[in-house]
Amino acid sequence: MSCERYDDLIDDYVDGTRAADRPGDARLAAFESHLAGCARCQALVADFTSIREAASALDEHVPPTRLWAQIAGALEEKPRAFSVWIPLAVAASLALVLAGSAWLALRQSPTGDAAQQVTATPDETSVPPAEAQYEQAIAGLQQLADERNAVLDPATRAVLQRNLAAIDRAIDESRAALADEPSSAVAQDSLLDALDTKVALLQDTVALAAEDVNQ
Amino acid sequence: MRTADLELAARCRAGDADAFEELYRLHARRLYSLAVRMIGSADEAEDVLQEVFLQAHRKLAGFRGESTLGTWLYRLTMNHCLDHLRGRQAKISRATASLDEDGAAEPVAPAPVVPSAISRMDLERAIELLPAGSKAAFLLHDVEGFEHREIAEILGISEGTSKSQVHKARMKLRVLLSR
Amino acid sequence: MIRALRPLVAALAFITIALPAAAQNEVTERFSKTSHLDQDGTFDLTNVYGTIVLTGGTGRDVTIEAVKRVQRPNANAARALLRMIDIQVVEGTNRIEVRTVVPRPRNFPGSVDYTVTLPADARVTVRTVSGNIRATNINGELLKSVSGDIEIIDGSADDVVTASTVSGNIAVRGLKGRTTQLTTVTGNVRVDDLQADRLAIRAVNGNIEYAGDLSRSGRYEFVTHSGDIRLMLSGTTGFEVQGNSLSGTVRSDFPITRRSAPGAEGGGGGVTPRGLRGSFGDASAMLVLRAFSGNISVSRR
Repeated sequence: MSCERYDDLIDDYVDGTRAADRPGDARLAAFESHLAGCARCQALVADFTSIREAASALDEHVPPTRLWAQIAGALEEKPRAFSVWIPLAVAASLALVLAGSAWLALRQSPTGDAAQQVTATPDETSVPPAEAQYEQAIAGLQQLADERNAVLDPATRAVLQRNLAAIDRAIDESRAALADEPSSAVAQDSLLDALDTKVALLQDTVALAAEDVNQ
Repeated sequence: MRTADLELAARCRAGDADAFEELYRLHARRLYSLAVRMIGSADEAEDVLQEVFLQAHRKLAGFRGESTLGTWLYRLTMNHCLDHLRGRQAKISRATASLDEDGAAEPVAPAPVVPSAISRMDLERAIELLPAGSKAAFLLHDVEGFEHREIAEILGISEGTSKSQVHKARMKLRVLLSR
Repeated sequence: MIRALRPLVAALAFITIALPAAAQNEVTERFSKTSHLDQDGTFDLTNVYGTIVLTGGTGRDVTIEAVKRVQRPNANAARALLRMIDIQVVEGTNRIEVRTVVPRPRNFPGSVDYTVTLPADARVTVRTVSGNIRATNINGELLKSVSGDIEIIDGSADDVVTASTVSGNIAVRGLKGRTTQLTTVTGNVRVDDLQADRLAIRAVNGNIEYAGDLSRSGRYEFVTHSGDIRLMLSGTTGFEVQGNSLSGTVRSDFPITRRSAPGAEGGGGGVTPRGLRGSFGDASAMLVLRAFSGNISVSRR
């Protein structure tokens, strides 16, 4: 069957394109004369047309009226988007720490790309790292910290552990609050803040330990 | 059209709550319908719509008028729908995967097989069974009335791909709706 | 002439032995070095244990005074350990790096207290593990301690100022900065009369207090988990505020008017027991205040 070669033109035809509108289009003209004598293609055109007409006549699904109230409510809770924080370059810091440049890593966090950030206007479209990204960074850093922190002196190690525990408590409390009120932006923000703080502390721990090793 | 869009976007950016509600009223129904049909669930479609408008509120600062506000919102909506679908279990895709194969092998009968008046229910059900890619193109083209050029922009594909996806969708629906 | 990079060891050494009441012998050794920095030079100090005091002045000289300190029951052992504390000064092009180097194991009963004077425009970075940092009239970039308080007095920063401690308080007074970030995990943060375009303060277990004016179009973000946030504002700058505490109370001396919201029932005050939302005056500054279990208060100074 030589019909298949016209299959790409059937849709245009169904959509209303005619050879008369496209004088230079030889293929379209050829298709139309083919169509006149081909039952298979006529069937396709008929079916496609029925489908297209039925589709365009489908009613709209109406969103529930409460949806706007929900959106408006959620917007009320969000501050005008700006970030005072110079974003913690989570992935970048991790890479630096792994490369062994300990103090360099400390230098990068949290000032990071400070020079650019200071003069740039706050990026209102930037989205802070999501919870999943934090968890990932934390897992990696925690592993490094566990491997290396034996070289730290006991007093410092104790301070770091104590404060890590304090942050973990804050994370747990935020999670519990979020479980109670899943739509609470405050609880969500608290959780992300705590996760961010944990990443920073772990970075410091790893950097300090690496520094020790380098001596 | 663009000036009105840019004006509305500017008012929304400036914190004009009424302007943002206006944006919602203009587009919510169509976007919601699209989401319901793409995902197949009214509840999830509600979530998607909420995500889309909250994201739109954040990202309006970056809207420059290269597309219309509508196209821009459709793009956000489609992305969210596709994300939701990707997160779904394989059940639906298994069903549609077999449709893919069937569609390829199906000989085209030399007579119309689809009723000339298709019931809405049947059509909605059939659309639900389409695989994500051709469903997206079909909904935007045959249901929403976008041109292939616009669909290309919304879905981030070429016009040619848009056409072939619509063709695939129509072929499958033909099989699903045949009496 | 370009200065070659080479480590220098102490120029002067005074070793003294003190005998406190307990049976510990404390031996100390002084270290002293002068150098200089041209306009916008860099000063970078890394310490382990000990206090650090920096003062910015008008001259171009840099003076580094340090006291090494070791305590041991046995004076000879103490002296031996003292010799193992190395103060390395590396001078580069308009850059001075000072480092306290101690041998492993780190559990080393020794410390170095630094007193530094340098040009007020020098960019300063200080990192220490345990010990307080006090910086007066400097151009600070990064002041970082694990255990220790950080105090910043006056000074003028043209770039980002970051003060970070894990366990310790932070106090800033009279600084003129652009973007200032203050973080502590356990400790309080107190800011008085800071001029900044952007100020971000974060504490986990600690209070945040801010006293002074707000900069016009300044942006302030204060976040604490279990502490209170207290603003005591002077001046006339209006602000837009978003303040939330999950389980603490929120109050304001200033009348806060809520922006018109769709579907809002009756306008009126933007202060609810858990939230502060809206604006005061010309709304030019932006405040984001977030406490988890603590209270938030915005009052007039």
